[in-house]
Amino acid sequence: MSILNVTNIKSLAANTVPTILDKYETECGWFVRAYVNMDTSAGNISIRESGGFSSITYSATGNYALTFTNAMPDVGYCALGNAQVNGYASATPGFGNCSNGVNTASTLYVEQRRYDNVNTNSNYVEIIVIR
Amino acid sequence: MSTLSLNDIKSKSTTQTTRLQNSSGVDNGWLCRAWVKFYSNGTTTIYGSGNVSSITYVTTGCYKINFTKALSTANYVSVANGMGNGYSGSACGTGGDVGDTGAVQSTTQGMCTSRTYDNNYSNPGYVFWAAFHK
Repeated sequence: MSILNVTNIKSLAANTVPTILDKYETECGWFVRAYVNMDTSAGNISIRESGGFSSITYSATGNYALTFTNAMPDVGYCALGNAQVNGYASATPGFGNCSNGVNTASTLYVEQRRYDNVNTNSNYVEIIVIR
Repeated sequence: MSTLSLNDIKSKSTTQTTRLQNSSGVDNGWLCRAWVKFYSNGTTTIYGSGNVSSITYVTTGCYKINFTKALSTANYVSVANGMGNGYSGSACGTGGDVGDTGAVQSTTQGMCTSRTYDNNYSNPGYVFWAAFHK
């Protein structure tokens, strides 16, 4: 075992993160590239904490547009999330073909609905992006 | 502060990826070990992936995620989201019982099911799935 003791690990290339390889130089680990914990219950975006997003726009009830600080290399990134709504156990965010837009390398669109398929905002919307 | 600038981080181990630790040697960051974005409408098309070789379409709303290289444990955490056609945000389940077959996640396959808000199995269109372990 060997340990490298540093505070930061910096990529040599712009808009990328270092590649994680196994002994045989096969890629074997991926970083979270963007994340946000936000409150949309008041009909606007209130960010508690985030990384990798330069702006988040409130489009309509349950519809948000999240712009990456650095665009992803393509639209094949993996977006995951959950939400908590007061009075409802959960709401489910959807990503992809949303009524406010279709995902691009620079913007992730979110459409979020509660148990009865009605668009809803949420006290806690938590999203991560892996690439 | 010290900064290391590089392109790649390569593990010396054949079984373990590079670990992220604090100054006390305690793990304080974990990497995603497999992920995929795919589209499902009766067949599946992969749009992006890491350590995923293919998707097995079991039946409507039920999929097995096949890893390129086996994970070192079957006890990984897997999470998923779906974008339902007409039903924004299909509820996705992970872990096991895909297609009510009793199949559960293993070191070589992850599991994913998708249901609409009214609890019917459905192909949601876009599916996002990821696995984590130490």
